[in-house]
Amino acid sequence: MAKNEIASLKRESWTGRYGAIMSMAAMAVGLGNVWRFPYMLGQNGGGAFLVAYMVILFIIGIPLAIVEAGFGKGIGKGTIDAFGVALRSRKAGILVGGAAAVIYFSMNFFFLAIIGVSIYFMYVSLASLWSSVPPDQIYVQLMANKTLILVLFLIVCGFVSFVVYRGINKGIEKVSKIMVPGMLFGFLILILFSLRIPGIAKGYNFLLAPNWTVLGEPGIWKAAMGQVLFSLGVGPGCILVYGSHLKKTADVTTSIVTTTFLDTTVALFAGLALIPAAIALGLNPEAGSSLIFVIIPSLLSQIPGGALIGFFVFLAIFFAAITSAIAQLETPVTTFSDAFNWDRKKVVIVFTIVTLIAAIPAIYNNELLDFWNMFAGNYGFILFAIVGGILFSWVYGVKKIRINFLNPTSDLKLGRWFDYLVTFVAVPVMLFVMITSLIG
Amino acid sequence: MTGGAIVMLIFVLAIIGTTFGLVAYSVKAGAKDDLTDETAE
Repeated sequence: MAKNEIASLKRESWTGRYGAIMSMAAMAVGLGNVWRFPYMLGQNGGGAFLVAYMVILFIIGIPLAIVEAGFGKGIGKGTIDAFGVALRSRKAGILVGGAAAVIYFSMNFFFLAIIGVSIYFMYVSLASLWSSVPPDQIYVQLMANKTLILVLFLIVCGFVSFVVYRGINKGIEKVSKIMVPGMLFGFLILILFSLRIPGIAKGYNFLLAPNWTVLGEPGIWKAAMGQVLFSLGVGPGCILVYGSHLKKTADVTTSIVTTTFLDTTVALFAGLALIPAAIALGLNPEAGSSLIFVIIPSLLSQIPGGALIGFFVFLAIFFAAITSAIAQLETPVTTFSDAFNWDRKKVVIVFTIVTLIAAIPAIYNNELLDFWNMFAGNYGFILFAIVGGILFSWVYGVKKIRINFLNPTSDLKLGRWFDYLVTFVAVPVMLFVMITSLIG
Repeated sequence: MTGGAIVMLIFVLAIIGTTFGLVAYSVKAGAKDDLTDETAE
């Protein structure tokens, strides 16, 4: 038997629909669901923004994700092979698909340290550190302690590599089946406890009361488009790689619809848990790391049982973040082991060593950390989201994907309207959002 | 809470309910898939 036939026989698939959906949801859910979505909801017209978000999710986010996952399932390999098929050139596939996977992976260079901070805040909560140190100073003090950040980073890096090393079924799928329900559980605890906070209704009004006039403002729609596209991670190849591990008989369409709803639900749980309580307690919710590492400890310090609730909330945040880091490592591992028939476990070790070499200096150098954030998290991600979107939908063709890879095994059959929606609406809108983000 | 916020809370609960419904459907359909796979083997 040829070497590549043996490699393809060894290639793992998700064990079933539930495992696939949990794994893909784990990949899609990230810190953006926790530190960006709730804030955007409150600041951009409350419930009206949610309506705009759902409209964009249905006409842009879900169709693009279905196309990418369907293409991944059809090709059954990582980004090098898939981009190569779309471009009809093995060399171009290696260049563009390889770069997409590596750029997506390089987000771990700054991201793993942030995840380490969420582990520290589990300890902060259990020890009720806010009773001796002002909540806003806990984060500042931790940032100054580089050795502790290094130790936390190494723990996170080791865990991520271990999960990916274990493989698709014993590693990623197993962990995702625990972590996705775990995220919902962690935020649910805070939602239930926060209902007892006096003035919580004021917080719900801030978060949800709709200001319908904002729907007439283009900025709201652009914000909703950005949130949907960045949250789902459409384009650079992660959905394609996770889709490539679907069984040939898998129903991509309903699995992706379920995945995107799960992604939205985690964001809504985070919003309901954090924003109303913060408003009721007179705290000003902000977007970004300060919401998680400053506002949440301040909030927890003021509610009874904050120590235990805080542990579960930071565990939920840890789950949300680490599953994205796992996807960021899995993408190049699948891509390079598929493309060159390299041993998957050896590829994990190589990329782990690369992570250590690139990320450890960034812990001691904020400028380098900012560089990785800008290079990978902003420019690289956006650039390859554009490339991926164009290649899957316009170059390879939505119709081919729909007829060959989606409809034959799907409970939900897509008509010709789907081709027009993706080609003439979803992709141009994605290009607009990504290019304006790149310029911005 | 204002009337608008209550309506939107119901909308949020509907999204969450739909999500759990879709997950339940995937579990049920997944069991059927497994049976089909076993029969095919």
